[in-house]
Amino acid sequence: MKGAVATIDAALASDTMATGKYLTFFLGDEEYGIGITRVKEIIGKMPITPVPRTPLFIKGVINLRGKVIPVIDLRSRFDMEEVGYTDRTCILVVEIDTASLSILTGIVVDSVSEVLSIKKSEIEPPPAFGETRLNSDYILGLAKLEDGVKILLNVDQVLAGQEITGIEQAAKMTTD
Amino acid sequence: MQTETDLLRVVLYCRGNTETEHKLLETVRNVVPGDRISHYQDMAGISQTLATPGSKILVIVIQDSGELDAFVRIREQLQDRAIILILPDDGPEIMHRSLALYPKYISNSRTQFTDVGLVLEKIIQHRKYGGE
Repeated sequence: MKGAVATIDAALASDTMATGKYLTFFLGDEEYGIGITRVKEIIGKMPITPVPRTPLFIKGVINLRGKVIPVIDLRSRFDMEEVGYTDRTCILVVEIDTASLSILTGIVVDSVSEVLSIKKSEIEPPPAFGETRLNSDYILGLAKLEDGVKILLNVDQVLAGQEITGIEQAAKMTTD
Repeated sequence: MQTETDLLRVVLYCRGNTETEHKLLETVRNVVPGDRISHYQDMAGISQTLATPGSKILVIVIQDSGELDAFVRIREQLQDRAIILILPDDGPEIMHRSLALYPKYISNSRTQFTDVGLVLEKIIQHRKYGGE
């Protein structure tokens, strides 16, 4: 139970976030942001080849100019309702740092919004979490802007350790 | 002379006469005297109290996404308040939507609320000793 107090201490301290540029995108009605330095490319929807024996949120792999990269569906990762891909569906190619290597990964999002410069003063720390299955490890902060809140994601934390292993396997299976 | 912190109120919102409500009310009463607690079961009541001046900490129990949407619609009234949110343990989607309320702490309704009591105490201390 001490954890609840320790985490609320962190949430009450409000100066841990840095000013930066974020690429924002939508999943359903919510707008999210990823640090622009992590985004290597934005591509439109393209054929995704399923890979057997991988977690459900791994949609498969794509061939990006000869380089095969795994693709994850962020809706599926966040247990959101599955929707069909539209003309606005995009794949963000991002670099995910794991303990041992950097993996280029595609992330399917509903639509890309814009690149925003967000000041440190506009970023609130994420809330602390109690006894719940949920956690905020992958939430870097909440950008409090005039047009609403944007959830800033720590792309390295969006996937748990075993899920990273799944991605690594998917990438490996296609390159072997 | 009473300071604003002395007049701090805890506003509890929990719809329905449920076990959750009783447990939570008991938890809050262990931290704050009963006369500093306002308890509401409907949106009109809580909306009215938010319109009145005074320092308030909100403890809000959300039972479904419709109820969360109702709070998101009045989020301007919730701005700059310390909010403890208790969500159904339904996964990340409702949690992500709840972030529009800028809660300080999120727990879930299946717990005994010991954590909520500790966090409430901490927020009150933080306000007394130089917090927001």
